[in-house]
Amino acid sequence: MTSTTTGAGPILEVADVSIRFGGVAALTDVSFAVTPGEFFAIIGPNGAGKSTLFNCVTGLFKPTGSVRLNGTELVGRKPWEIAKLGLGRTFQNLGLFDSLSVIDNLMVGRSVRIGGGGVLTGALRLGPARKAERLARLRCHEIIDLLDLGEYVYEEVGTLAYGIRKRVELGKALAMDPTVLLLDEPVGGMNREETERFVHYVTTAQDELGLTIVLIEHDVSMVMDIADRVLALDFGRVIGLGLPDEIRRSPAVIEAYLGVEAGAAEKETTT
Amino acid sequence: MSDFIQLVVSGVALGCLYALVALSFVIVLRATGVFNIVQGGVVLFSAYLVYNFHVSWGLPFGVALLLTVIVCTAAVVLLDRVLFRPITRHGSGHGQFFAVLLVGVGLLTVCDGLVVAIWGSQPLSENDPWGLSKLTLGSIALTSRDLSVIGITLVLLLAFWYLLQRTRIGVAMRAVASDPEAARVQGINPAVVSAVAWICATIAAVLAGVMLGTAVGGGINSSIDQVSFLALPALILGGAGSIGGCVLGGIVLGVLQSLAAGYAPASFGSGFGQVVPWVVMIIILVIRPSGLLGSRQMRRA
Amino acid sequence: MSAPVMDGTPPVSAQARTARHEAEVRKEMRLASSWWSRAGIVVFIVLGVLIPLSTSNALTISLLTSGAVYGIGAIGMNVLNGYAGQVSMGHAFFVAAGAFTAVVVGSKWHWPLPAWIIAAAVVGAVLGALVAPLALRLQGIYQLILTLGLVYIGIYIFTNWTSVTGGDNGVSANLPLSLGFVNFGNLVIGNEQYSYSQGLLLVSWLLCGLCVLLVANIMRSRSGRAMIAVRDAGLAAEVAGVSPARTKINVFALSSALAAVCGALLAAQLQYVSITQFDYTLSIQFIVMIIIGGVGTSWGPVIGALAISAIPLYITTYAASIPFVKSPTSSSGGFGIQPGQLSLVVYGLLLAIFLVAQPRGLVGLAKSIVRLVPRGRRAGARATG
Repeated sequence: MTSTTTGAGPILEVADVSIRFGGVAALTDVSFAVTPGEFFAIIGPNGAGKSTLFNCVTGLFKPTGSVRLNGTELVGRKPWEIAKLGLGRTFQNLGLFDSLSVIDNLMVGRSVRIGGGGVLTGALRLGPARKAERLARLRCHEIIDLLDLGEYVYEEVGTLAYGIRKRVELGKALAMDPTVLLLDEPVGGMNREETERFVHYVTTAQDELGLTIVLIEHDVSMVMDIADRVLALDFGRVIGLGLPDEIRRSPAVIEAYLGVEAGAAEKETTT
Repeated sequence: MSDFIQLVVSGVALGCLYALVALSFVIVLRATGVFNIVQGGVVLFSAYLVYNFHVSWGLPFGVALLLTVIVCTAAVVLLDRVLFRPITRHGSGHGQFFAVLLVGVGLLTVCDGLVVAIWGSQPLSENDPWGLSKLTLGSIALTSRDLSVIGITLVLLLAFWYLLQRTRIGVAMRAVASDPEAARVQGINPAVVSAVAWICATIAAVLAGVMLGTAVGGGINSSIDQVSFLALPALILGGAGSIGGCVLGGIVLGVLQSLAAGYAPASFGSGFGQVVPWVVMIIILVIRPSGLLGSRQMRRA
Repeated sequence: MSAPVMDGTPPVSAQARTARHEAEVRKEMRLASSWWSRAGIVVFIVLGVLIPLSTSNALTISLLTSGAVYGIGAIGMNVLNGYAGQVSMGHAFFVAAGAFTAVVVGSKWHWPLPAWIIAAAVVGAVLGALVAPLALRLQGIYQLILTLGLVYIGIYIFTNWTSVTGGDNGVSANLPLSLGFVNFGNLVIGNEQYSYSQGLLLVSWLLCGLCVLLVANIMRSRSGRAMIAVRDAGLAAEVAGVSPARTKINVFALSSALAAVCGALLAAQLQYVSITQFDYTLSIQFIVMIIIGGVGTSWGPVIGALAISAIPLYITTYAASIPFVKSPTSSSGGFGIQPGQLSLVVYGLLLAIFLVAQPRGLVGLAKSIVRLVPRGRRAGARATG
């Protein structure tokens, strides 16, 4: 858990983001700011709008409001442009390229950083293209080592176990050399041990690469230990934003997770 | 003006034929989930069979028609059981759709070959009951064939509508079309639904084939199945397998083709009428990718 | 790109790690990583040069030339369908475009070999890029119908553009095979004089090999990975920085360029081009080729093309001895299937058999056989052959 406050402005600023689907308001006036190097967590019950928020930030949806990355407005841009600006993202249901190998999956992520993407340059493999590819592959190997994926490098991702696939997904996002990494419920379906291992990978990567991490997680207790700050959503609205301890005790948050009575009970015990 | 009306009417008749063929594709598509090109062959074969029963064997036209329907339906259901269902069981998704399509094309060419082998490659004349007789309204001359085509198609469409909306088997078909798993859980037997769908589709295809083969339609020749391809733009025009849509699409395209062929200047060359449905299809796709009546979900995953 | 941060572990370990990575990367960057794909390349080049110069059997030459020429088209189909997961019935349209381009540039203007080949490729690529946004609005059967429309529109345009295409009658084509100072159409090596068809066979095979190489390179590069990524998980590809629109345009442009080159060589081989040769059955033949050869493999399309080319040739030659088949010279009466149609029937049957029994095609079959043979040293898991 690192928390480098460099004094520069927020690296990711979300302001009054709202979006509706049909008649349903999925997000309403969501606002928060993430400081550079922070480990920022977003929690909330199922259907709170967490993944929708990520989709808005990464350009898959177009909300009203503003999302700024290092001052650059993201709303209205295409997802691949946003990726180039330095935003990496994993998917809850895994966005992996099953017929490609592990290294090739990472190379797709890395493609944001290497030039020469045309068909002709690919076909001819001239000097600069070869050099760029070589460097990219070296970098991907480093990430593979970082995540202990060494024995699976050339395996087809579709054939790998769920836990390994989750790590490949992380690797693919890391290969993008993002400034901000969005992780969407990365430990869903993992047991305690796998979760701890995964968290270790994430924090190691954050340390080594100087990332800012925004994590969506349903499991509140896991998040409390590692996050610097926590944002709580419910029914598309912000119901809490602050340090983990504050959020843990916030009646509104408890109510959202456990229901009204538990919230009232908590209120009584904390006063 | 009378030219225009004549062209429109024959266009509607042509469109009805397209609608029938498109219908036969769509019914099977919605009931089995996989597109099958084999009905094109039914269209061709039925024209020749009716000729055989009516002209060569001298049976009355109605009887010949009925016999043809029975023979074609039996053949198609058999093919479904023996060939297409085993293939769809083995493959999955992409491969399955290709497999069925390509085997269907193979069958289509067998059909082509058989037809020429049995009946020769010269066009045959069907001796149809309505011949070249015309109905004259003022200065407008409408062939009774065209009117019969429109009439028969309307009757058939009404019958299908009734089947789908008012009978139990029709409801079962619609259930399978929208969610095969749920339908199965409810106790609906997909094999039965599939068979009924094939029967309906074959009836439509047989009628289309017979009417295409009439004297006014150019006689029975081995390129009739190519004409059935022209019904495919109706599928797209009508949107994701919507039955009403493909009927509407077929008629619209038929009218457009007729008008185009009638009014096109000589400088447009030959075959302009026949290419118009494809061009219209593309234009519609540029403007409205989900077709005339289709739902949006067909567009992109 | 930053070097790995050292966190107190001895420097040797990090250096050793980097060295290991470099070795792995070097191996990955090599074109042929397994011994038999390297051997295959050598065999291919050797045979590709030797056979044309040593045989003058018309049937063999015709078969091998067709195999190479259709192979190039099949490679294009493989890129489109096998790697990028698109379906198209429009391949025949691009083949036609390439053929007519070659006729104009090579036969009418008498420009040398590279000129009409490249002209065909460029025309194909441009047309493919134009068609791409349209063809990709739909999936599955609807995409198929749309691309089928392309074939019919193409037929209409080409039939009526008689100045270039000669309408239904077609045009004759006499394409020069001159490359610099070498004229493959009229090779003289030592005392031997070689015929046009032998020279064309040589050119076709070398071009075919070149196309296999180029496509293999592309699929190992950023644009190739993008194609597969967009097919496997479109949204994930988008957030990873891949533009699906640009990728799909690349795919169509590439596959159409290959189809056009195929058409150009067809014009050279048949020395006659008519729009009637390019209907939907041609598109289907390419699909059959890649399925029988092996979808998504490097050599599968070529092997499939050879197999599919062999069938009509042998049927026509031995038509007399196959029951129920009319030989092309007999009269039109009596019972019998035309050889051309029998070919299509055979394709359909082969397809059904392969799709059910061996979906990975002949290449997959070969790989399974190879795997059965026990080996002391396993070649790398990733094979390009």
